[in-house]
Formats: sequence, C-alpha cells, structure tokens
Amino acid sequence: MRFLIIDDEPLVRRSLGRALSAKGHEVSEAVDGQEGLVRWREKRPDVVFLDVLMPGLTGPQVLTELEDDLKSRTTIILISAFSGEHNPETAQRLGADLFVPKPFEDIFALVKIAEDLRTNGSKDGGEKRNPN
Amino acid sequence: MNEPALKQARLILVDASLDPELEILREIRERASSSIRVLVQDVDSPGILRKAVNRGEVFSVIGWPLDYDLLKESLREAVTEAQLLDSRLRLLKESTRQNRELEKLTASLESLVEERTHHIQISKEFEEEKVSRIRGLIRFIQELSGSSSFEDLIDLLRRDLRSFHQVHDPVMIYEIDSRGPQIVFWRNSMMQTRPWRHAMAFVPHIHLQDPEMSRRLANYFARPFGKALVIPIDVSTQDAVPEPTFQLVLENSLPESDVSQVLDFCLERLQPLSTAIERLRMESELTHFSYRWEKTFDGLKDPIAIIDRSDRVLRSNKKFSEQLIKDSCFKSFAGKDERCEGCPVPKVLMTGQAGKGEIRRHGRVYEVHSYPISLVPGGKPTNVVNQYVDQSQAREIYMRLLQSEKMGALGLLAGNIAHELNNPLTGLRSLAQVLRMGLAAETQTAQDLGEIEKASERCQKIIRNLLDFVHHDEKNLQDVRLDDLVEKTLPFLKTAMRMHRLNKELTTAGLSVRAEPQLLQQVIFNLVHNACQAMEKQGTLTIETEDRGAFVRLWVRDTGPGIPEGIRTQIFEPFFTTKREGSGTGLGLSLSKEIVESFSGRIGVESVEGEGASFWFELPRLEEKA
Repeated sequence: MRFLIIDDEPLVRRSLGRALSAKGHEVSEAVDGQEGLVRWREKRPDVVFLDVLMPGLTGPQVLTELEDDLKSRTTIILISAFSGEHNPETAQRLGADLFVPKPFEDIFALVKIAEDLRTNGSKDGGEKRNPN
Repeated sequence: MNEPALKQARLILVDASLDPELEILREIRERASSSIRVLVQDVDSPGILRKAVNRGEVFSVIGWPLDYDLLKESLREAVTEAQLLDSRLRLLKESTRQNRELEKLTASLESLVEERTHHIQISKEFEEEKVSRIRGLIRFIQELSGSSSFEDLIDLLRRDLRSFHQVHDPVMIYEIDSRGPQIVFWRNSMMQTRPWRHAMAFVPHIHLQDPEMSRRLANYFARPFGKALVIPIDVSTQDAVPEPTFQLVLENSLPESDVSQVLDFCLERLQPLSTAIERLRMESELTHFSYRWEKTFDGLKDPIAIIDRSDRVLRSNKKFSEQLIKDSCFKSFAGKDERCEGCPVPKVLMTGQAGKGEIRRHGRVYEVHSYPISLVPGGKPTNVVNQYVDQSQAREIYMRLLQSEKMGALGLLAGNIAHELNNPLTGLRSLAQVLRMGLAAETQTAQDLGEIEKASERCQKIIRNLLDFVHHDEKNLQDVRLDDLVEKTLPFLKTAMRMHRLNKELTTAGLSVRAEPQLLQQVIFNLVHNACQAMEKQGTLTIETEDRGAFVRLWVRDTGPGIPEGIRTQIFEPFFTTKREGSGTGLGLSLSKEIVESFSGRIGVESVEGEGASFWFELPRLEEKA
C-alpha cells in the first residue's frame, strides 16, 4: 500500500515510516501541511497519517483544501499529540476515518489497523488496491 | 259727758260731793289723761284724799267753802301746771316724732348697708367664680400641654365637662389622616375609637341643637340621643391631606337658657384644644417621620453607623449592632479594644474628604466607606457616616475566578507541554518498538529497548494525569435563566460598580439556556468586573439581555476608553492583558471564551474607540417547556 505521513515532527515521521516500511509498504513524507497537499495530489496515497497541529496549514485545513474526490478515495488517519480539541467525532466530521492520539501505544498495532481500515473500510479500498 | 269737750278740756274741776267714790275722777283720768284735775271737797277726809290721788291723780284739792284767793291761786297753779303739761306733751310729741324719724332713717340706713353688703357679697362670689373658672382653664391648658395623645386631650375635656350635670360625655368626630373619619366616644367609662362610616359633613358653624346629628348618633349608638350641641374645632394646618376636621358633639338636656354657659365653657377651651391637637399631629408626624428613617436605616443590608470624633457610635442600624451600645465603634462592631487596622475615619475627619479602607471583623473582610458630615451648620466635619460592605462574598467569587484563571493557565501550560512532549515520546516509543521487532526477545538490546519503551510509557502517563488534573470534566449542566443569573451575580460586584451608574435592561425573563450556572456566573462576573475597571472615571454600566431567536445574548457595555481595533481579536487569547501588572492574569476573557464555547455559545466584543466597549456572549436558547 502507499502511505503518506504528514507531520512536522521528524521523530514521528521516522518511527512511523520505519514501521510501515518494515511491513513492506511504500512510504512518502511531508514536513508540513503545505507539502502534504502537494505530496497527496502527486502520490495519490491509499492511506494518509495526518497531524493536526502543524505550522502553516493545520491538518483540518489540509482536509478543507483537498479536493473531495481525492479525499473520498483516501483512508485518512488523524493523529494528534494534543487531545484537547479533536476527538473521533470531530475527525469524522472533517472527513477522516480514524483519530489516534499520540503517542501510539503500539506502532505495529496501528499499522495493522491502518491496513485493515484500508482493506475492509467503507472507502473504495479494493479499487485502489488494484488500480489497474 | 261730752266726749270731745272732755278731750279738749285742759283743766277740770271735780266736786267730790257729786261722787264720794270718786269714780268720775278715774274716768276723767282715763279719758283725758293730759288734763289737770282739781278736786273740790268739803270734808277733809284722808280716805277721799287717798282715793283722789290713787284714782284720779288729781293735781290739787281745794276745801269747801271756797276761798277765792286760794281758789285763784290753785287754779293759776293748775293752769300753769296744765300749760307745763301741755308744753311737755308737745315736747314729748315732738321728741316722739323725731324719734320716729330717726328710727326711720336708721332703718333705711340699715337696709342700705344690707343692700351694699349683699352686692359686695354677690360680686365677691362672681369674682371667685371667675377666678375659679380661669383657674380651671389654666389647669386645662397645662394638662393639655402635658398630654401625649389625642385620646388624652378629649379625656381632659370630658373631665371638665363633668361639672355640667346635664351634659353627657362628649363625642368627637374627626378626620385627621388617611384612615378616614373616626368617632371617639365613651362606653362604660372606656374611651372607644371607631371608624365613622357616615360621610363627614364638616359644618363650620356652631349648632346649638342639631337634630340631624342627634338622629345619626341615635342610630349609631342604637339608643335615644339627647339634644346635640355641635361645635366645630378649627385646627390650623398647612399641608395635611385631607384637611383635618374636628367636631365636638355634646349630648345634653340643658334648658335653652343654660346652653350658652356650656358653649362659653367649651369655646374657652377650643383654642387651646385645637393648638394641642395641632401639636400632637405634628408630633405624630415627626415620630412617624423618624420611625420611617429608622426603619430605612435598619432595612439597609450593610452595617451603617454615625461616629463622632472620638470614635463613639452616635447612631447605628441593626446590622451594625443589635443593641445600641454607646461605645466606641471598634468595640461595638468588631469587639476590639483599639481602632481597627485600615480604618479610614481619622483621615476622613482630617481631610473632610470621603474615604475608604478595609477592616477585618470576625474573620470577614469589610470595606469601610466613610463619609464626613457636619452636625453643626457650616462647620468642619464633626462626624462620619460609615458604611461597611462585606467583601468576603465578593472576595470569594473573585478568588474562585483567580483560582480558575490559575487552573486555566496551568491547563494551557499542561496542554502545551503535553503537545511538545507527546511528539518526541511518540518517536521514542515507536522507534523502540520498531528496533525491537528484528531482535530476539532475550537479547540484551531487546531488553534495553523494552526499558526505553516502558520509560516513555511512564512519561506518557504522567502527562495524561497532568491533563486530567487540570481538565476536570464533570459537568453540572442545568437550565439557566440569564436574567436570573445576572440578578444573582450583581450583588457580588457591588464594590466594583459603586462608582458607576448601573443601567439594567433584562428582557429575556422567560428564556433559558443550558449551562453550568457557577461557570456562567464567572463569565458575567468577569465581563462586568472588566467593564468597571475599564472606566476610570464615573461611567455608565449597561447590562442587557436580548432575545435573538435561536440564541439568548447578554451585553455588558461600558463607557470607558474602548478597545483599539488592532487588539480586538487578541483580547480573548490567553495571557493577553491591558491591565497593569498584578491586576490580572490575562486569562479572564480567554477563560470566559472557553466556558461560553463549552456550552456551545459564542463570545465577542464591539467597540468604538473613545466611547466604550460592549462585550457579549450568547448561548443556544432552550425550547420553552410546556
């Protein structure tokens, strides 16, 4: 699967990237919201890990900017180190499939959840999995 | 015998031989006692002589035969005697007449004296009566001036009227105040006052006999009522409403001739009586007035006292001290032996300017507002009026606000720390998991990585605990009426608002919102407190509620300097403050925003620089329950 990690924290990108790569996935990274939008449109990933609080565009702002069809075709997992303002409901309203607070309990468990969400989730994962 | 001749005879010669018993002589003596009787006799008998003297009181006796010389002599003597006698008689007569006249004169003199004495007696009685009447009047006036009630006055009049037996106890009908006409009368020697239901037709003239009044009173008392002497009493008043009217009614059975006496008696007493009534009326007004002041004074929520230059309490209300102790203010109010620390009184007395200070009493803090007054016209302040405002309640809510501001600050800090720490912790923990994946669990490295993971997990827990501590989430949502909440909150802000005019326009009485009342109270407190602080000089504070359809909005407007446009968006941010250091944490508005938003509301401000600011918040209006 193709993953995109949008987070301004290098350690988060690195650890999540390592875990995903270890499971054989294709991983792209973006250091802020602005770059995240560019990569999203360019790579058309299956799953996106999106941080909430970032300099420039915040996670939710990225989702507002993003084209609807692209959004609907991607499995989006909102991640946040600050649980104050967002929760699973607000995430859903923004168009995300899952909200995960940082730090993650178990990074491999998270990868597994992401894979399952992509495969069995409501979004058109099958189509994306076999694009051609 | 010829009777008239006998009577006129002055000299009578009687021949004894004609009547030896001399009866004739006696007869003559009896009939003509003033005659001179001469007896002629021929026998010189002592018996005849004796008879002649005893029976006839003869003047002389001449013997028979007559000796003419002797006769002549005797007759001349007799005639002389007769003349003498005559003149005596005349004298006697004259003196008798004179005596009589004298007697008459004496009698008339006596009667004159008697008459005079009588007159003097009468006038003395009259004077005495007059004096006693005046004495009675003076006593009446003296007693009037000493009497302290209207009833006493009438009772005095009644007592004085007792001297007239045909006059009954007086009846007084009067109207002096808003109670309407009253009637005062005596029943079984007890004075009774009752409302007089008949319209009071006040007659300005005296009625010697008023049959209409008799009829009315007979109806009223349900008994026959005698003649009614009606006397109006004029009580001079300037301002009484309605015009007081008095009527004295005297039931009597006096004959017409005596009525004027009673009338005079009463008229003499009317002037002093009306003066006394007027005095009583003014006294009662004064008492009433002072009673009203006292009640007002006592009704005030704050303790208030008037204090003199040597700290003595002259007057105080009940809140100040239950009993009026003529003691020092610090003793009676705070139970202290010396002047309270922070007392503004000495400075106020010195400068003559109002001042305030904070004192402590039984563990509570009072703000003392002290105003100088002068009880001597035109002089320096002789006293102060102190108002003691209990600060503890306001202080409590302020401390709570400060506390939540502190907690808010801590929460914000904790949030930031959590964010900053959680990111590196994510990397730390996740990377440790990634690194451990390729290693056999029993290797040293795998175990070390496990330790790193555990340590980062502990850090994570610490952060979560910190967040839990500052965001205690238990909510106590209730249906709240904003109008009520404003009314409940304003008392706590009395001190902050005291300089300013308050304009309250609460128009959403029936509307409710869903919120935590204590928290919302903090928001109102905060907005009003800020508004008051923004107005350095005296200003107007307006608190309004507005029905905006789906929302209920509260406005807090001030007439302070306003908020520059550049910072209007910043003021709701944490730690933003325009107050001087130490006055606030700069969290009040951000906290208010957080609270309002936690109840799905909004907060904002409108302002024209130089004219003031209007802060508002609104909350979703609840559906009215049926």
